[in-house]
Amino acid sequence: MTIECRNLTKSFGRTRAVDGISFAADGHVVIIGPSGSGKTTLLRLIAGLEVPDAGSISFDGTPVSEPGWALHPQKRRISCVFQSPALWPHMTVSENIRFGMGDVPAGQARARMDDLMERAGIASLADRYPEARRASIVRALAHPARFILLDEPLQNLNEELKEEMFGLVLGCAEKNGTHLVYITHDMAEAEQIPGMVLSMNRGKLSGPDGGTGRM
Amino acid sequence: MKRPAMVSGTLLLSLLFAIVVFGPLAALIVAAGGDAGSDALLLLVPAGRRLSLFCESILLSGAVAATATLVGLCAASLLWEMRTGPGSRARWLLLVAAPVPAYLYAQAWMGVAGSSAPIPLWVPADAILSAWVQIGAFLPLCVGLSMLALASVPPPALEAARTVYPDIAVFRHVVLPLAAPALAACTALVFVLSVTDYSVPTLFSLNVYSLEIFAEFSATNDPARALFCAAPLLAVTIAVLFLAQGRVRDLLGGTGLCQRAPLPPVYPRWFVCLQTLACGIVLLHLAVLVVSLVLAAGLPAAVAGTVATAGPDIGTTFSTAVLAALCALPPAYGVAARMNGKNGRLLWLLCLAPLAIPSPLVGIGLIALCNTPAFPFLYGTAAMPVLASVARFAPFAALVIHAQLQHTDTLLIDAVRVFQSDPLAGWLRVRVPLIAPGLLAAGGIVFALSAGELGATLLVIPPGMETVTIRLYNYLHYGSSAAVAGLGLVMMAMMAAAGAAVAAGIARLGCRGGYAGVGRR
Ligand SMILES: Nc1ncnc2c1ncn2[C@@H]1O[C@H](COP(=O)(O)OP(=O)(O)OP(=O)(O)O)[C@@H](O)[C@H]1O
Ligand SMILES: [Mg+2]
Repeated sequence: MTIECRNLTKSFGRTRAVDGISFAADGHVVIIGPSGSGKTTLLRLIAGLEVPDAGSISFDGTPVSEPGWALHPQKRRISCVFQSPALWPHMTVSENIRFGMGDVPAGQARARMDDLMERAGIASLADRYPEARRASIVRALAHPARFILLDEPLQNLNEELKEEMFGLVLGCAEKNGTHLVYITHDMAEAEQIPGMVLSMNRGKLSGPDGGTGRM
Repeated sequence: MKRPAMVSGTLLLSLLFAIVVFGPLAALIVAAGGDAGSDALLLLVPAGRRLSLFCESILLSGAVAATATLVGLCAASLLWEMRTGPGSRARWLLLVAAPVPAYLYAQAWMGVAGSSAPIPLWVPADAILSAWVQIGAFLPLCVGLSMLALASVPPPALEAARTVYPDIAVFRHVVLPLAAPALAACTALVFVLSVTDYSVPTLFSLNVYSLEIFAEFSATNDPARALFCAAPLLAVTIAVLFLAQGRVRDLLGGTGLCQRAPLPPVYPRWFVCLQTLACGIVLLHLAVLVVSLVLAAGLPAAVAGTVATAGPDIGTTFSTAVLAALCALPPAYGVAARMNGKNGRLLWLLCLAPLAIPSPLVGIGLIALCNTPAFPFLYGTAAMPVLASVARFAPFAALVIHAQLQHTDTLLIDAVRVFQSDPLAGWLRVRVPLIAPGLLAAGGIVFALSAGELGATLLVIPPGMETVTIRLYNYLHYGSSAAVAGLGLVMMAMMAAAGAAVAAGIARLGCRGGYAGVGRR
């Protein structure tokens, strides 16, 4: 499963949030960079939540975004951990996770959900209204996706939980053969994820090899 | 330590608010308590003809409120997606139409049906026509409130759902449940406005319960009987507002209007048809309103003639409305500023309660107030219509200003407290500019509603004085004529001016939040 971005550009008014980014990845992608460098915008472009001004994105060689056109996010087979938890406030934690799985058959969904909630340590929160960041991660992992897009998923968790959830995310990706697109500020996290590192600055890839690091 | 002077200032203003808004009702209750005959008490419980009238009125207004909210929601869901381009501006023009009084719509539709017959033959019942016109009149309000409701859905929750489901499922499972409280509030508000309005039904020769209050007072001149007659209606409207009040609070407090523009949703064809149909109904009402008035008014020369004869009335209306707006703002600000503090909830309820009071009752109460030893000098003066409008509409102003204060970054005000030693400069340079859009909107709303006020003004206006609305209302009963249409256009021009001020104010009020909620509490 490959993601390919070609000359991807997106502006908001005068700000060029993403400015001519090109890369191709067959595996995990880690995005790092200072605040305001365009990481979230790049992720939203990949998710199909923003339409590029120029350039294109393709998944497995099939175009999914072009200038002025983007395949609906639901049809991309992706799942997301957003920068804010983005849980549905009118649903309980388990309803959030179940609803987030879409049309997965009931029996299968139940088992998968229970297993993940147990491992994330949020089984006891099941009937509560959303408050946990962990729930948003579990929701993304439970969804059958080929890419999981994560925008600083571990922010505001304590060290112990961070480690636990990080292991869960990597483990799930490995088990299901899903690829991660992972935004982080934490170099230690970045180094533990095998794959390509994109280092962004002011909307562009920066650093050696034009910002695309080890593969 | 010295407490900030502001606290006592807002307290005084709140007291003033209480006197102006609740004085008439209190006077009415006192007067009624004094001389309640046993036969007057019988009015408290409607029976027989009055009972069936009561039930019919409630059913009619319930239907109007539900339909208007539904159509408004469908139209809003289409308009809400127009975030860029000319559509994004045009949709706020609906706000201009919101304060146009319902009886002008009635007149416009009568024009369509033919000026000879006030009740056209192709309509099955006067009730349906009356409901249709009321729906049309409340639609701009419903569309506006529905857009606020849609704006109150947090975009991250929306986007999270879009990665899993098609847009129509997102609408059903995420947007609707999250917007439902606000929509319920909209329905409640329209219900109350509809059930207390008698101008439209009477024009279609339909008797409704709120007219009964007016008729009772006109026939007996006894405030107690009017109050007892109104009591059942008051009970219903207060109950409805009480049930909805938390929702209105959320609606005003929790929305940021400027959000990132997402991808336009892709809906199935049946839903798009529904949205288009709803927008069509909204546009049809507006088109009929404008076109039929313009056609009936005749040549510009004829309009000019009408305007010239109605000159003094226009002056009276304008000055009354301007004075009402100016007088309403300070007490409204006082209450709004205290709504977040201790007893904020109580103040909030006190602001909503007056919306439940049928307009004739305010007029009757004001007259009762003048019969007390405290304010005899007011009776028969031009201050009466101003006071009536302030009593009825200052609560609206308080709600709008409260919404503005909610959207204002309190850190900015804290900062001016820290950095600026001169309180006056702090007020003029920071506080007033920060809430200016809200003040403008509140003033515009009071102005427009006052200009169209009928129920209370009709009772308290001094002899020899007349507002455009009263003249129009008197003319209306003699069928549609060029003069009525000409006056209607004058009214609409006034409303449009006020509406434009409101639209400008709200557009700025919404955008101040800016990207990522910067500037919001
Ligand atoms: N919807 C939007 N409207 C206007 N400007 C935007 C929008 N989204 C992003 N921007 C701007 O684009 C630039 C990149 O923003 P982005 O959120 O992608 O950065 P980021 O790298 O994710 O930052 P952070 O680490 O703080 O999350 C910023 O200057 C931001 O202000
Ligand atoms: Mg970001």
